[in-house]
Amino acid sequence: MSRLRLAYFTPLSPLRTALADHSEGLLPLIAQEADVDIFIDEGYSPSNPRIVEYLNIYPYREFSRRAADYDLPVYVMGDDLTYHDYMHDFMRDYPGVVVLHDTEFQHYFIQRTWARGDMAAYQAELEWAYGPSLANAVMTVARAGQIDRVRGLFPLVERLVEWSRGVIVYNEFARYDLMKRCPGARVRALKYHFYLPEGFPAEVDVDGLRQRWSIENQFIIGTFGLFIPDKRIDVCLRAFKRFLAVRPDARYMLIGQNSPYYDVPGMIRNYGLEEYVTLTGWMDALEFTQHLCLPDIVIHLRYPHIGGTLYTPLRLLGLGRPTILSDIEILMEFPEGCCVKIAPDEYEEETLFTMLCYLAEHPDLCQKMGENARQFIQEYHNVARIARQHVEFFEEVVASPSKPSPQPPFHFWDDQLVRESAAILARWGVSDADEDLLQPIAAAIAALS
Amino acid sequence: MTTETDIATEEVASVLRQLKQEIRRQHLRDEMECAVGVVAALIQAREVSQVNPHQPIAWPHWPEGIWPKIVALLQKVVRRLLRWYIDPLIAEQNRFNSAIVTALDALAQENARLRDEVRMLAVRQMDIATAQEPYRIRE
Amino acid sequence: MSEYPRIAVCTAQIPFEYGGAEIHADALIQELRKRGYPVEAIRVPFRWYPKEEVLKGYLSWRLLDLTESEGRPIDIVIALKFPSFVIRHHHKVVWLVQQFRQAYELFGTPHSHFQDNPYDHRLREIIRRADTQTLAEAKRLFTTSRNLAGRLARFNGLQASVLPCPPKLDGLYHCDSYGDYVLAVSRLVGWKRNHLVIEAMAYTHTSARLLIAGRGPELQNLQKLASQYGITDRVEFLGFIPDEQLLDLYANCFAVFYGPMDEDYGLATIEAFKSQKPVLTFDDSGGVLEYVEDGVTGYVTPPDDLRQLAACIDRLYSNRELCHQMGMAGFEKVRPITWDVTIAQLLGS
Repeated sequence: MSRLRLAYFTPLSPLRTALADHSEGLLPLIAQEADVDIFIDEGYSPSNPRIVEYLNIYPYREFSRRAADYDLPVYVMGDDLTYHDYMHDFMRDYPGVVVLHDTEFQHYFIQRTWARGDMAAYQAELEWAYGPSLANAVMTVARAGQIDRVRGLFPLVERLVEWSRGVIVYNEFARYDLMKRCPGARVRALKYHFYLPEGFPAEVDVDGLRQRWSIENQFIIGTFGLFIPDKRIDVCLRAFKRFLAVRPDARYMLIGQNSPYYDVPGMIRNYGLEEYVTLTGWMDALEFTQHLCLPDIVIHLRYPHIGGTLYTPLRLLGLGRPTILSDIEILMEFPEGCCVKIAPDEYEEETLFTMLCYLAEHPDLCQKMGENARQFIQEYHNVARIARQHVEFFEEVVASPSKPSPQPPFHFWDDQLVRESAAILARWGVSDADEDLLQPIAAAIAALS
Repeated sequence: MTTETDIATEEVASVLRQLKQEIRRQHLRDEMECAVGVVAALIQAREVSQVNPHQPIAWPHWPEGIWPKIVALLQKVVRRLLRWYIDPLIAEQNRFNSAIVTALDALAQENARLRDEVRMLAVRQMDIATAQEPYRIRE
Repeated sequence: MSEYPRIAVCTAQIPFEYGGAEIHADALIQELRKRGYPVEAIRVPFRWYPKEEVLKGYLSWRLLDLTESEGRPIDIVIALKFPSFVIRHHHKVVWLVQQFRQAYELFGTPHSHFQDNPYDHRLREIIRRADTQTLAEAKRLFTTSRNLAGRLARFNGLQASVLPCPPKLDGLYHCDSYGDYVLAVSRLVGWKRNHLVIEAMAYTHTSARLLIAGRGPELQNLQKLASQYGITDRVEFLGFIPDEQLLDLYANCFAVFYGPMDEDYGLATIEAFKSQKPVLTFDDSGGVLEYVEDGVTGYVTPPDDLRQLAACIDRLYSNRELCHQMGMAGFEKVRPITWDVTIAQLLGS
């Protein structure tokens, strides 16, 4: 088979999005097996030398002229309209593979329509995806500014999947959820690859980093990334404050950028923790990744989530860092034993505080966990293997008809009967796991043919 | 060679797959309807939760005729005279209404959290985690 | 064109079986027609075994569309027996004769084929949810007895009004005499417990006889039992009895035995009282006890002390005036149970 020709739509560095980092780790390896050209938004110059030197990069407007040169467009999608708006119409007009880093796009569509003065377009999106009755209910909620309460159930991802010829997600739960919503879609769940940025040293100078932040002899707790409400920094700060009483030498490093919608500095002040908590601000990928080695224990909470796999926890585990994570569906695939998981329930703060104390007292456990994590990531998140899996999926999509056929080749029974029966059974509490109960009914329906 | 039995078995399996898929969709649909219905109802409840003690009389227009005008004027006077009695009652009712809507809202949020927990438990049962045994730390 | 609403009476039919529920359905249809209502019987066969058939039976009713027929609306649907009440209709009235007891209070007893395993628990849960949801859709919800209404409240959280079922031959029952036999009328199945009254007959000291009308799988066992006790001269098996003869049998007995295990209703009790005859029953017979008051309209004895039942039989045999008194007391109790009242309640008129 001749090499695939891929048109890759993705944000790149120096744009401040983890998706740029992700793509830059993967693309050089994909480019070993397929011909890859990158199409980017206007207004910046890519800065990663590995990408700039070895791959063709074009402004996105050129794609229409070049479209016939490619076997498949690939769209790397996240929920931030700033970085993905430019590829939206292309997804519709040039169906390809959509790589969904997130599976919830409410805010994306709101920004794209309503925030630009076109509420009718937002409503139209809701109606297309959920029907008029549910759309009206969601509009009531959205108008009251409470869309966050239901966005997980109304992700507006369906349109993007409908346009696509194939979808890649990065955890099994995301795949399961998408298949429920879009049963005819071709969805593949791959692992997030683990890779370290270009120039990452063999040995990170942790002492140097500590010196830089004047925390040489302190016990360091760390949290990383973009600080938004879902990261539950308020819970972390409260737990840390209690932990200080146990370990007065503790310090909390918030390494990353604060979101304007979440007043972390205000919270630090309210809890009286100015002397003990440092908010570093944004760092580039290399510096950020080195800082992952700085803390003695890392906290990475996330609830609610928007369906994407979290890149920072992956890096933390790959570097063998003792990490406390939220026990949520998208992190199901990280085993306990490689990390500590706490449920986002009413005991979350108490549990977090308890785990901090326990881990601080058991450095041997932290080390064992770190070793397990490193081994796990090496085995399951190998970048070369994952790049190959991407290409295999692209090849599969190119070789298939435009849309996957939802019907088996032979059937005579009425779809409507199945749908109606299923609706009735579901209302009576029958679930898809009740195979014993469903089997005779399926046999009876099939016997109608 | 594909036999009639093979075809029949394949058909049953196909129907079963589709039944399961449709059941999953229906459960999701029910969950969506319930969740958004509750939140929308709470929003609407909060919008109407505050009772206004000042109901319009002869507004925006005075009624036709002299006697209706006199009656309306008397009503306005009585309303003003009774304000000392009615306003505190209304204020108390509004406090109650607010408290109820707040309580319902809290229940709705707790319900949403429990729904997430149930989903998490269901996902656990699906066994979608990768091989975990080698990595478990045993006491 | 009729101005009366078009009514569909829905009931599940166990093919080749004809018992109280079937009599109930036929009687209702007949009485509705007598009063000029256009009415159609909708019967769908139902099999409760193997268990895999149960959900199919429920689903088949739910998939039916009885909103209209030949372009004309069906105005009212009256559902009688499980699982017919799961039918969808904008004006559904449920007059519940029977629930699927094996999935409810009989679960875990020898009378239920549901076992204590995950599949059966799951099926039971789904049946319960389906029953609760679909019964709650009814515009009016009735049961034939307080016993059944209590079970609906306990297991399904639903409130139902009690609407006793008048017997099929209401208006024709009469009393000619208090003869020399106790009459038992029922299907000959184990839980109707006709074997207990046969054993009690062995303990009687009078010449009272026992006539058993009805068919069923227990016939041979009951005949053997009578022979075992040496009372074949006093116990007679009549088999299936046509209506006219049944009326005469009621009219001339001195008492009626009806002692099933936790029966929902007990039509035989009403028939007995309409014929002004006292009823002998057991203290665990369920719905029967809503009418039979010990020492007033009959006798209630424990099923594990058959000598007491025997003594009651002897007492009544020896005192026909007592039979008359108790019978009349029973008659007054069931006087309001008529088809006029029943149909008015069902149709909300």
